[in-house]
Amino acid sequence: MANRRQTIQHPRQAFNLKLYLHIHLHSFFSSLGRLARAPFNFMMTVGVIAITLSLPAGMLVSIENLKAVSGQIDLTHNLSIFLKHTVSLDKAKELANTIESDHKVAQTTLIDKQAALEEFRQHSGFGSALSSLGENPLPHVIQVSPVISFNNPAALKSLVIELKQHPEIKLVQMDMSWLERLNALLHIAQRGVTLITILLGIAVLLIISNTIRLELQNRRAEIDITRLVGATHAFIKRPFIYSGFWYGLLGGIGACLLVTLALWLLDGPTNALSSLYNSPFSISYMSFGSIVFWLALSVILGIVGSWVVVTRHLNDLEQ
Amino acid sequence: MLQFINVSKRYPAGGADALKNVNFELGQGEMAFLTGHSGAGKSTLLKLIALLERSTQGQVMLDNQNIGRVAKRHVPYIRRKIGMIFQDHRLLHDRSVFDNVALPLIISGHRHQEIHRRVRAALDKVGLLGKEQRLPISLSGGEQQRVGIARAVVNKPPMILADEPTGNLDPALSAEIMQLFEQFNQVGVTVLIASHDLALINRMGYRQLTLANGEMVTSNG
Repeated sequence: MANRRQTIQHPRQAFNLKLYLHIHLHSFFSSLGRLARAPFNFMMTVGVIAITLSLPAGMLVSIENLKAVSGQIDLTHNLSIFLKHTVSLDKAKELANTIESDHKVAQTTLIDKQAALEEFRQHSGFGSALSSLGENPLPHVIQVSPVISFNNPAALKSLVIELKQHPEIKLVQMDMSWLERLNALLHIAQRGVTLITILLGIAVLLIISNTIRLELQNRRAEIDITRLVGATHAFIKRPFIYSGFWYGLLGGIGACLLVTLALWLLDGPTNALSSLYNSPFSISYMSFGSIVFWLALSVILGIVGSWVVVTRHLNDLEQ
Repeated sequence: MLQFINVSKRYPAGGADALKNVNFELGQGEMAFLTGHSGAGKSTLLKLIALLERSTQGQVMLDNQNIGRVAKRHVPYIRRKIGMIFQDHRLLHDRSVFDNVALPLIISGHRHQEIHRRVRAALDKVGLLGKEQRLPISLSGGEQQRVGIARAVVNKPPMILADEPTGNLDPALSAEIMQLFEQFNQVGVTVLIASHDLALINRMGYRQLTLANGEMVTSNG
């Protein structure tokens, strides 16, 4: 039986690369031609895919931009060192110079407790209350800006531990916590976008599957006839899978265009805002890598979506 | 070439057997008519050969191979050995005559020039040369049937099956179509034609296989 089955295969069809490529090129362009013949339906589906994918793609690029903002924040005055009350101003100046000589530190600023008290008296409105206090409750404070390479939470923490070795120092406070919170929030947002990407990716898969299913119904007679004259499943599937490919590719291109358009619209106002803050920040567009990622994702969704539907349909037809 | 051994077919929906214990043999290069009333099982018998259906019992042998048992993925290669012709032509109405006839060749992966040559030869044989670029809808019923015949023979299959090929045609056209089948048979193609046009069949004098209620009542011409 097994041997006999061999004989009904196609002995003359030794693998021929040129012919194979020819068949594929034919399906490739004829599927595009078929889609172009019903441009309205085609563009509607492509539009839905583009909008669906532009949501996660847009969110992701926004998060990248926010990360860039948080990275560019000037970290002067990252650390505030509160000295003990017993430390004199001269001693404090000396300590500030010592700390500044550390290679990890870019700059130190000493805030004299007397000057600080005067400032506080003027601006806080507690002037009379402060006068009733016998002595200045404020300590000297040294503000430390680390060098750029130590501008991350972990390195700063190690710097804090080193600084605490000095006996004159009572407390070291990191002004980093809000930055850490922002980073944590961005992390959550990123996780959220991943989930949204998965959900909307499934949505795209369903959209493409359904579109191909309708196409299968419309071309039912054609499929029956090609089956009757001896078409293999692969032959029948090919144009539909190429249709899925085109939906995916053009939907992906549409999504990238939508995101770029949105960023372009935001570019002007953002530049105006960042110039008010004297910030060099400007919106960064989708990177080449992320464009490739979104195109690849949507092409894969297109191919998988159509393949599943066509395979199921053909298996239902054949006994 | 073709042999039915105790073949029965029962459709899952209806209770009655469409074919009951059918036995016959068709030799290589033979031409025969399959007759019987509507519902006698003619179409079912042809569908079993083209593997559009599978028999419930018995064996359908084509070239000494039990085609009832072949795996799904081999089915297309069996169909390529059979040229099928239908009463309703089954043409693709959005494609030209040329593209319709070329379909079996495209499917089996022939080269461009080869396709051109063979399609023109097939259309020449059925007398439609010069109408390659027409759409099937612009042709008469008889011409559409010829396109269907050209498509069935373009791949040079060893066997032709026709299901009521003259059902919608007037007697003169029917006779012409039958002559075409005779010509193919003369070059060695095995031909089996299901028809209830008894007057025409009797005049032609080929072997007749007669079905009645799913049973083969006569299998000798």
